Amino acid sequence: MREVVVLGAGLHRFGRFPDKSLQDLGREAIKNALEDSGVPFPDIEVAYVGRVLAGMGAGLNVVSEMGQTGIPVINIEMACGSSTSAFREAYLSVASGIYDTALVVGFEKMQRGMLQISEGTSFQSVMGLAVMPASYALQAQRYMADYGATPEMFAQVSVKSHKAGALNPYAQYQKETTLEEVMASRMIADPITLLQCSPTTDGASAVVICAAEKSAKYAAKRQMTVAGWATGSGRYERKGEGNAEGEADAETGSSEVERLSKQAYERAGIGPEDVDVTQVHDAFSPGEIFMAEGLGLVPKGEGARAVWEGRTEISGDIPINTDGGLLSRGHPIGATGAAMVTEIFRQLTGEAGPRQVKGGKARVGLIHNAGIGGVNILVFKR
Amino acid sequence: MASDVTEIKPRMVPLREGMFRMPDRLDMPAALLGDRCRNCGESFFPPRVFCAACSSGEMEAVEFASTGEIDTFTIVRQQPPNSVMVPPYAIVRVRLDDGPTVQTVMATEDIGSARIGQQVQLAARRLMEDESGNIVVSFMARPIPS
Ligand SMILES: [Zn+2]
Repeated sequence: MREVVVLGAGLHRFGRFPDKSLQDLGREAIKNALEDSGVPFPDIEVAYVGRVLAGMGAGLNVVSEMGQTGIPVINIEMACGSSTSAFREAYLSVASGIYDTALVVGFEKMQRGMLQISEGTSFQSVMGLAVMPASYALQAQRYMADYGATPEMFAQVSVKSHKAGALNPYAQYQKETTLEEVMASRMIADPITLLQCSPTTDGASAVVICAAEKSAKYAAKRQMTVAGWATGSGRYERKGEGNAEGEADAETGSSEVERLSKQAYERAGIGPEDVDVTQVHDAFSPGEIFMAEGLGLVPKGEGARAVWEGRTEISGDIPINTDGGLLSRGHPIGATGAAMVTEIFRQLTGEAGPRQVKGGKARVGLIHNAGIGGVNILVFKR
Repeated sequence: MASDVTEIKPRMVPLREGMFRMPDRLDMPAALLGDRCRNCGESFFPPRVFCAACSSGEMEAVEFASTGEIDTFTIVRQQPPNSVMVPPYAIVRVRLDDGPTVQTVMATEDIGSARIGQQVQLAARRLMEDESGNIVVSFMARPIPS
């Protein structure tokens, strides 16, 4: 397999844009990523598009806005993890030697309100069991009982996230919030309040990747290397093997993430102690805590305390979700993964401005992006 | 004046056929109907055709105990789409005494008993009425007084 580098990344701001089409959102993100990379669109040989709610062929409808060069445009869907899945496929197609340059795109326009995660007629839906915040809340209650964490520790994830979002011009929420405000916002599923739920969002993201041996001609100012990856779909765990639920829960369960991150670290030749900056899937506030543990950044049971002590802030020793994460940057489900890659690119190239971690000396970036049905882990090196 | 319309007593129908052992009356225990893998012994609710743990297709139908312990819970306070439950209601994850871990809701009046470690019984409860006026029944958790 060949070495593959990220040459550029770009976003359309995340937020609510009722007057903009998917094409409007996607075109701007792609244009920004291409300009950032120095790769002209006619040089792109394949495009992988993560998108969930848009109709048939939406990927081509957006990518062809840049020109009809006849390249393959592959639509990918893995719910909230769609565009890291698109990234993985693009990476494999370049690493294998089939293509030299590939474009990764993610976009979404969402309705307000709770995301429907199960068929409307399933008994789980009818009985009110198919509720996304509730699946995080169930794990959070258990976590509090097991480790003595408090509701305030989960709420602090949102405070920290909004602080980072306030420094990100592409974030949906660019305003700080206090612990009191988070705790006083409407309760959704105990202990998760409204400000601990990622919003519904419109947005788009794009990343340009290239075979390392071909990247010189684009005179890219800087690049980062794809160092490791792992993907899984939630392996079944027998009762009594740690996961109380029995069913594999790839989104909220940290044991599946533990298994996959080990694979990714091994491929990258690093350990969790080498990671300088991390993006995790905080669809709801407990996500950051569970994943910090699943990824091995902190020992099991210490995630909540790490957040409470500020260790996951931009200035902390294990900075997480430096762009505001899903909670504040926003969560346009198909676009989230490639936005995570975008932030890691800014951090590892020293271009994150006021959000920059470790004085611009960050060398290793880590991503955890999950969706119903799977988890993607990505490791990057400068 | 006598009406010639006979009053029809509403009939009890399960939310899904074959989901639990339907008792004669509401509030009676409702044992879940699942299956167990003949190859590796893992048990499932709802039943599966192929085992999630070992992929064997040799599954046997089993009726689980209707009692268990709350492993975790939450109180849902916002109306989810497509549900007939009216918030606030409690979702509980119950570790059945002899079977798998299942999720269900607490009976409405028992929401205050939703806590980790609480012993519960799964009972037949009215979920809603269907178009024909039948009482649609599902299994819900009720606390067992200690
Ligand atoms: Zn089996």
